[in-house]
Amino acid sequence: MDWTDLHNAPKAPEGFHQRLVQTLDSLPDRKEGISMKHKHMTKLLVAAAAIALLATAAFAGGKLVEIVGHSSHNEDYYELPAAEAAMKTIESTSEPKLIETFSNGYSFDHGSTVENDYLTESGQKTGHYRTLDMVYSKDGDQISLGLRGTELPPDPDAEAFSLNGLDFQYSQMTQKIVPPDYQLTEQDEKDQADGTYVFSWGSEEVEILEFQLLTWNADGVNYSLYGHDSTLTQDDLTAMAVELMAQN
Amino acid sequence: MDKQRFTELVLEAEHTLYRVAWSILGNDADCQDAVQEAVLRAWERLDSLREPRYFRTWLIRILIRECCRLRRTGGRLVPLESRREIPAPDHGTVWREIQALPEPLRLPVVLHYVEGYGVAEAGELLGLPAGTVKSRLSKARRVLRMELEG
Repeated sequence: MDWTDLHNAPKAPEGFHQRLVQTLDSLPDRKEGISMKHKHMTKLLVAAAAIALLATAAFAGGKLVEIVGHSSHNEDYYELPAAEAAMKTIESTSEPKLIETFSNGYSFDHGSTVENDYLTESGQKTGHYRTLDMVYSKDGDQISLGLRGTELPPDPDAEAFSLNGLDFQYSQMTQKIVPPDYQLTEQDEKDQADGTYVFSWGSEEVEILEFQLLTWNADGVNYSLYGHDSTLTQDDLTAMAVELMAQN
Repeated sequence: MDKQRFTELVLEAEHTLYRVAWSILGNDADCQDAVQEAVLRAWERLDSLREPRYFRTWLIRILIRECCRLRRTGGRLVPLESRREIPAPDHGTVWREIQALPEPLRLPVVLHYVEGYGVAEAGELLGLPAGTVKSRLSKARRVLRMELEG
């Protein structure tokens, strides 16, 4: 076999070259590109932290802990991971249910592994867990499915209901996401005290977002479907959860 | 890394990007879409590249994922058996037969024999252990020999 024949392997044709040059010429300003990404990741991480806070409220005994989430860029997914790989990632004892496309049209876009640390007020790390967060999109709206390899106790403040043998909890809150160095104003303190806003730190600018979360446990895995300013209702999320759990 | 350097490095890798994308997608239109998307993603995620000297490998990894995603979400599918008959300038018999290999064999061959990556590097790009790449290369050589000499 004459491997030197491979010197004739094709080179990029002119049409390909032109499209590539066009793409490179129109790259967005670097700062803009990064801030868009950071904004998205901030939402993801703030959501992860919010879920963790809700989940830990029941067993933290009121002791304030902080959850810091950070993503691992080497663990980004552009294809739906296999159930076995997902099980290893979240260190669960059974394979989690996964779905490529929900029947309402939301389809898998990308996913990330998020490392989460529990910190005390003094910044001491007291625990760690890993979640797999997968983003589904449809017509610009995004919803995320979070997987954690441990079942979590119920949140007494969430709305609890059962369907198809699953026990669900639904929460909705208005989040005010602020930059890391943001100091709460007097009005903020009032808003926090009366529950108008749940404050989260980590954005580049102040944002107020409606956050909804549906969570449930099954076979040693904690599932959460959540979104910011999503057009989906509680019933929509529940139907998606039931569809997910019906997967083989 | 600034935009100018990024552009230079992408253009240096242009022919490799084309061949890798073509080996997965099998048509020029999808190759253009996949490479455009991969370049934009790479630019957006540039902070995740820890070692600039691995730029080309890193970009190819992003491209492979993008090609797989495009194919999964409805790219223009090209049946395997028709890959040999695709009208194209004469790129040599071996290249044509490589393109007719099943994909699990085709990509390791393209990365190793055409693009010059080592077995371990090709494995990293494909998310496969080096041993698996080796065995696929061995099987591919057998198939190619049969097609070319048989």
